[in-house]
Amino acid sequence: MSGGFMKNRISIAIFATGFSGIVGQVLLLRELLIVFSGNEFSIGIILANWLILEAFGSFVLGKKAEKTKNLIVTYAAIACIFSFALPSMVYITRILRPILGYSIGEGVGVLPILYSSFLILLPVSVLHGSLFTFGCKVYSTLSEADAASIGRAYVYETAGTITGGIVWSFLLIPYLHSFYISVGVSAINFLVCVLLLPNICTLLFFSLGVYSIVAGPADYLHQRSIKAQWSPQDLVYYGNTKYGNISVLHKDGQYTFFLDGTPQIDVPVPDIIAIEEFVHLPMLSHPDPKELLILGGGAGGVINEILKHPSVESIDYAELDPKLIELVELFPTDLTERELKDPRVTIKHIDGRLFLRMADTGYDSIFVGFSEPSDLQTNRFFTHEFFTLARKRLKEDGILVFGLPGSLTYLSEELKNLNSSVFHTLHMVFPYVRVIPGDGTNLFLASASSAILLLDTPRLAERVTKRNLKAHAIVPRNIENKLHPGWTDWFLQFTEGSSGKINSDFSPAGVFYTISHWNALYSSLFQSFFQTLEKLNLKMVGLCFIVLSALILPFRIKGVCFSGSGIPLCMVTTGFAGMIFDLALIFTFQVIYGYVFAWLGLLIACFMTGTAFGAMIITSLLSRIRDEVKLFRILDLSIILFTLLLPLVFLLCRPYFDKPVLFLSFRLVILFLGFAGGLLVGSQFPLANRIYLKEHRNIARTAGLFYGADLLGGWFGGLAGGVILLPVLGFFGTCLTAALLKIFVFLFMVSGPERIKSRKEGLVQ
Amino acid sequence: MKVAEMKGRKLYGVFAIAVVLLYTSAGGNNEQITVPVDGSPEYEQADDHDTVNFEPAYLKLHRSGELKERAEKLWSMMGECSLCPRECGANRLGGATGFCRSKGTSLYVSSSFPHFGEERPLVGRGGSGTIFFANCGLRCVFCQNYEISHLGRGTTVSIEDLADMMLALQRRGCHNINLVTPTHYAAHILKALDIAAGKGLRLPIVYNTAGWERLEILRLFDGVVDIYLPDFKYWDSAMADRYSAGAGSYPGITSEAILEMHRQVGVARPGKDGLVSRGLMIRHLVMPVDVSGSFKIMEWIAENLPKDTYVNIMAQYRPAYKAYDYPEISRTITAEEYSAVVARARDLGLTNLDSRTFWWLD
Repeated sequence: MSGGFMKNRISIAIFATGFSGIVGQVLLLRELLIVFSGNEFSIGIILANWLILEAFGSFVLGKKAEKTKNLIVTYAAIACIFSFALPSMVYITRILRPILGYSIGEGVGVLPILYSSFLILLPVSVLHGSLFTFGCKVYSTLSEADAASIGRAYVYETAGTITGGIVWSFLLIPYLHSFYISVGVSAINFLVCVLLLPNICTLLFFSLGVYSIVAGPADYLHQRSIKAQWSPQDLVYYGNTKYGNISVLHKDGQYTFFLDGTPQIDVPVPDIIAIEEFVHLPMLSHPDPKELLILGGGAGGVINEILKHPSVESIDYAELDPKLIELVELFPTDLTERELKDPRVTIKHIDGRLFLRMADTGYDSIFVGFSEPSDLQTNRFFTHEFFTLARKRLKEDGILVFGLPGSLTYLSEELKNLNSSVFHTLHMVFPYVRVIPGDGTNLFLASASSAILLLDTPRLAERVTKRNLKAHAIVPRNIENKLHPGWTDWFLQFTEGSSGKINSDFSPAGVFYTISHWNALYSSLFQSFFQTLEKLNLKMVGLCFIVLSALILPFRIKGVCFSGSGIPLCMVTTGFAGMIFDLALIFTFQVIYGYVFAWLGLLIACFMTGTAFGAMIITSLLSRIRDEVKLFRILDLSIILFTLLLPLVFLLCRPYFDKPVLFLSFRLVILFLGFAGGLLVGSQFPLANRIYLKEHRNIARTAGLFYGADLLGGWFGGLAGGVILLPVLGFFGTCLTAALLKIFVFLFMVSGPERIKSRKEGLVQ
Repeated sequence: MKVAEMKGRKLYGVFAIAVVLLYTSAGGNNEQITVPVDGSPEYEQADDHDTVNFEPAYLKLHRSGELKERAEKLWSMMGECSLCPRECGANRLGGATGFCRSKGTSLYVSSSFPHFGEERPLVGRGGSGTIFFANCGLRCVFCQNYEISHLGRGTTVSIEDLADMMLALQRRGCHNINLVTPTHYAAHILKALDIAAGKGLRLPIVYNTAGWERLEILRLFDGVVDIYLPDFKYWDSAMADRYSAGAGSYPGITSEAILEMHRQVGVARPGKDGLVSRGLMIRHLVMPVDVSGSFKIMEWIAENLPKDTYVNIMAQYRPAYKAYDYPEISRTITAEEYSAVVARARDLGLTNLDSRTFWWLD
């Protein structure tokens, strides 16, 4: 067999590695998100874990590639083990909740998210990481061992990644469940093994045979694992849509609908007290509510209660996921049939924010059905931007209604901050705000008219009689209880001295407080950590870098230490910035459009396409480049510039979002930005290799070092960006932090290389 | 331009808050809560109600020094802890953690504030002065307050701090000191009460418990507690066993305990201000598929206690904490389930049902 023939095969293998990587990554990411109740900030943690494990695989295991004699066999063996690991880990993710000891619907703290996702990803990512290094080594032994070969391998891997991202978004998500996908990925890897090792293919065919016996019944595994995931409940529906996971439980005629693992709708017996308080107190506060709007969460009782008020003429109900309503209709109950079929109700399958932006009617009341800003999607209904928009769409005496988590037992700092921050944000927009505290939910009413403040029990009781309201819980005695004058002072004292941060789309303080609230409940260890983070601001970040620069740079200039660390360190920060771009764009997409699940693969793929193009262009130019160091620095400065410009693009485009066409086409801008960011990040990789290889001749080690450095930076980016920077500093602050970090390392780098050069000259002499 | 705008907005916000405060305080002065909905007595201004001349039971024991003695007696029980019927025997005095997850003798309080959502005869105008304690010996899977009872969230406070909390609630105009889930901190509470009484505490003590109390302990509360506010959660021992960490003894022990409580403080009768300052007030949470055995419990109350015993039949069950692990209790209750219990209580001749009980009855 000729070397070229084998080289083609190994190229295919590397392509398959890239493909398996992205599909496996997004697959496990999605499965883990369901376990972690759909919280996007866990995306940062999961991606970070994936990266660090990949780095470990590529660097530590990959080192062995230098010594391994039978490279191809080892490569195939790793691919085989990977093929078994992926479906196994999907299965374990499904049963993770009971393993961790969490019940259905119970929140999971940051610490368990961190370690459980680490353990789940461990075998898959480590193996995948080492596949890359081994692949590079095989490839470079087959071609002339140079930097360009690593670059080309990188390109093949990335091409596989892009294909995986596109296939995932358009073919896999809508049609196949996770076991089909994971078994498919495994099958591809087995085929690659057969391709690489035609001599011992009998053995492989044997293992493939065994595998198909084990994995053949993918449906069986799927059913079994979701049963275990929802045990001991009776699961009647489980499926993924473009927007998330929906599961339906059934027991004696009672259905509970879960969205991303959190209970949303209970029918035909809803939470009567909660729904009645949420609907009737505001409805009774309005003298004559006619036109109403519900943004999410209308089905399952809220509409039914609103319809009990005789003045109601129309209800617009925006619910993003059509599948949810379809399912509610598929499992019909008296309650839902009544409310969804009422002629006064219009259901729109559209994001609530977008609907509100396009609406031209004025509403008497707008009900926000999301219970808390637990993620970026829901936070969009608790921000300054949303409140401003809502006020525009309300009639003069209209009322905006929403709930926030509340407690009458444990008044934690986190809960105070969450309520206080949203209260302040709301007050910037609405002159009159009334909060009715409750156990579980604090009800917020906001209006441009002072009427909501003047309401008392006699007036509301009179309206109950006048409207002949047939409610169970909202009767005068309970209204008196809820409107007790003591509660107003109580709430003011409750939030006194707490956070005055304004919750906005791109600076989602609400999400941070909600996450720290739930996290403080489940892992008290982290409580003080989060409380410290809360105080983090840009000034501190800036100061930190100034101090760091003042401490380290003088040494660098004198050439005292850290020789040769400049470029690897720079690659770490590039990885960091890359991850921040990636996360920032995912988050931005979510913030602007209210869904990201289906676009996740595309967004990541676009970024990866950028990196591949970058790597490819530089690789092809490598022989013609004279001063690699200079180009490397120019690229580094471009990354810094890009980091600083990224927020500006959003600032400049924001005013045009009111036009639906521009609004929707902005998605392409986001994809392009992902591509552009990737382009810059990717182009540095082959250059770094080239510069480094002038000193060190070890290909696999160099590839491993930079791949590892890149991923390590990404890991920090994922953790710091996802958990700390984006939630606390917001989109702009995070980009600025990433830019500062890059500037610092850039200074570090340019203050050093003289030494490398001089040493090189010394070597030459 | 932008900064100026922001400042303007901030001022606007401050102004708005001022307006809110103005309105609420104005509303507070004018408002009179006189909504006779169901014939329950109205309450008037806080200033002129009974509690002014009220002398709580514990004052006598404080003066005689017996309160301190009883506190010491309870304290020593923590050596091999037997404060609750679980009798786990943990040496809390030696720093061991009990079944209730209380660590040694440290005292965890989750919150303390005037509560306006408790039973009407406890709330009045100034609120019920609740102090929520962390941890719990019963550990129900559906606990609504699991963050404090199971996860133990709260802060450690000293016994002096606890006494100060009681006094602070009195200063804020609360009508009583409402100790929520107190059982495993009984010794701390009596010690604090002794200090607070010395510093002028005069409010009645509400002992707000799951109902699962040992007689031996309750007897030490005789003459200390003014208002008992026990739950009666389950009639069926198997249910208590299943949902409350193996507490199969719940029905037997709780019924005995409630009788003892009644013996000590009698029927809760509101004063002319509508507030109760002494007596037994029973809570019963109606659960799905009659997990709670509601009929039997109402029957037991009607047979064993005066017909005007205060009973609050509660409707607010919702699946919380680990409830979704138990499909049968994974939902709220239906209006029918609830009203059937109330109807049964009325048929049995129970006359002093909580005013909110009538919500669901047309």
